[in-house]
Amino acid sequence: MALAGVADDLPSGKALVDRALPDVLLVDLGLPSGSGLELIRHAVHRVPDCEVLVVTVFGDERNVLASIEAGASGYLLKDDLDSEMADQIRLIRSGGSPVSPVIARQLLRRLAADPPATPITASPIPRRGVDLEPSGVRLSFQEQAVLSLSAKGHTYGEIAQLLGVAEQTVYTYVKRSYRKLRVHTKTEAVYEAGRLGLIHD
Amino acid sequence: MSIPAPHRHGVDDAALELLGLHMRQWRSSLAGAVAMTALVAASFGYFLDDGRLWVWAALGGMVYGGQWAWCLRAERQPGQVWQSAGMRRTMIGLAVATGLSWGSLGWWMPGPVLPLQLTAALVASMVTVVAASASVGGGQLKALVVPVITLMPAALIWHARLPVAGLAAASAILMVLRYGLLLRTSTLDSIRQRRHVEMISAELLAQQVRLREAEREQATLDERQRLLRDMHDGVGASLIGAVKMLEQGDMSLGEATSVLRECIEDLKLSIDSLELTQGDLAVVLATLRYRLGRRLERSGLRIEWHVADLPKMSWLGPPQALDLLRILQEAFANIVKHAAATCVRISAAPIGLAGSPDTLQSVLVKVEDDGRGFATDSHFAGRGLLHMRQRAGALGVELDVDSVVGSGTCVSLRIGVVPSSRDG
Repeated sequence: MALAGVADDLPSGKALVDRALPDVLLVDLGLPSGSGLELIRHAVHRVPDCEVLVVTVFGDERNVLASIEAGASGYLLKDDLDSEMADQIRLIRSGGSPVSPVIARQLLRRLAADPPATPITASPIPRRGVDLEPSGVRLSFQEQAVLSLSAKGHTYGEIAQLLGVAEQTVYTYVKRSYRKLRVHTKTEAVYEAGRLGLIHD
Repeated sequence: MSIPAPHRHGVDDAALELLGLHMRQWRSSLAGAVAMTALVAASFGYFLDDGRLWVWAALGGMVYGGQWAWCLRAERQPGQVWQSAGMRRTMIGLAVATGLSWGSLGWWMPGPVLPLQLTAALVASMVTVVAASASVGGGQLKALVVPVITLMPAALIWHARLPVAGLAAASAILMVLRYGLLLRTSTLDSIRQRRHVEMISAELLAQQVRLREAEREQATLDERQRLLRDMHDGVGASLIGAVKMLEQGDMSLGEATSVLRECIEDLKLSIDSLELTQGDLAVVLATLRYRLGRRLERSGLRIEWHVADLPKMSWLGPPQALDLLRILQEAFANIVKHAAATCVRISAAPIGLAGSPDTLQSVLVKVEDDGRGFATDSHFAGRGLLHMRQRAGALGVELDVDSVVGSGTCVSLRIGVVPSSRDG
């Protein structure tokens, strides 16, 4: 693990991403001269393999969800011990994402299978060359089980034991849920844009 | 129900609305009356034989035209009819002219021709009833009806030598007039009532909006009070204590770090409490572990976690969740500081028969450690426990602390699915 570079505002952050093509990017949301969310989008677009971790003081729901929607795969708490931070970075690199109970509950609420009439499924809007099929962004049974147990306070190790799977698998489920939230948000945006007549075939 | 009283010139908004309503009817009735009279008269050939009926028709037409124009104006600005004296005079003048024209129809007829005379009486009655239902002031009505009711029967009796027909026409006109007045009163009443109901519901709506606003303000105020109190008792007190001790050189770097970390934990729990889903106790407990678990494990404690599926507790909002979090946080802190335990077991399960009423259902949350325990009547049962009890009491949650020296401590909370005997 080596430090590829440090940038202290949005433009130099973008330049750093373009130059260093990092494996992992740690982003503070409150950048001077712009939102960290924009840097996340830039990094995910330029280096699709890059894992983005948001560094936050409290890991509060709004910031974390917005970051995940922008493409982040996890977050670090600023007061985590240094050793824990390194562990978290390794974890994310090997395919795992942390999730807090509140975020898990939110993911369940927004992505649970067979939701009662969301705009996407309930609307008679014709598809405009965009896949609005809801099943792609709904949580699988296993993902739901992992998130439900997370929301009840179980650690990944306990969840792996309870579900009879490897801990690594649990990480992947959470990470996949994050990706689904991102797709779901995009689909919603596309749906909204289509509804407002901003997109044409 | 009290109906608002009429205002200026004895005319209220409802009367104005009624006027507008009837003006259209008034105009079309006039048109119909003239057309019918002309038709009947023409079919008897009188217009051809007698020039006097042509004169009457021309005069009637002029009066009718005046009425028409006045109606149009009144429809557009009904209020002006009563506000301007000129308008009122015109109105009375036109009413007199109309009354004279229809009432005198009998006098213009050549000779005692029964069908035509009776037709004229009928038309006069129609005019009267429309006038009665349309007129808003008594003056206009009298100006119109008096000529009709005197001239028409008089023509039948005196001019056409038909006394019985004259009396019949007079009483018919009176009956029709009476009917018209009744109609007018009831229509006016119903309009007034509708307006009154509309006014009351608008008032109620406004009141509701005001009430909701006040409630929202109160909620914001309560929330602020809660956060302030929480900061004052928690983070604020810890920071001040730490600063004092650091200044006096009574605190090591390690101690200071741990105080600051506790403060950050406190803040995190405060923020988390704002994001918790209403009524979801499992997530409250999960958040506690998510925030405090790692520190407990770092201090060498093993955590056993047993949280069953819990019923929804709709009374459990952010303030209540934060109180629960603080109680359990205190319990954890006591274990870390005093218990010298190796394992802490957290469990939460519903108790009470499934299907029994909500008031009998509750959730039992237990925090058990295998530490050294304490005698519950000793000094250990001091400030921390007192705070826990106070919070639990305010929440309406049963708190039990069981401890036996040498075999650990169990803090249990019995949390009702519906709040039990809480103030307010």
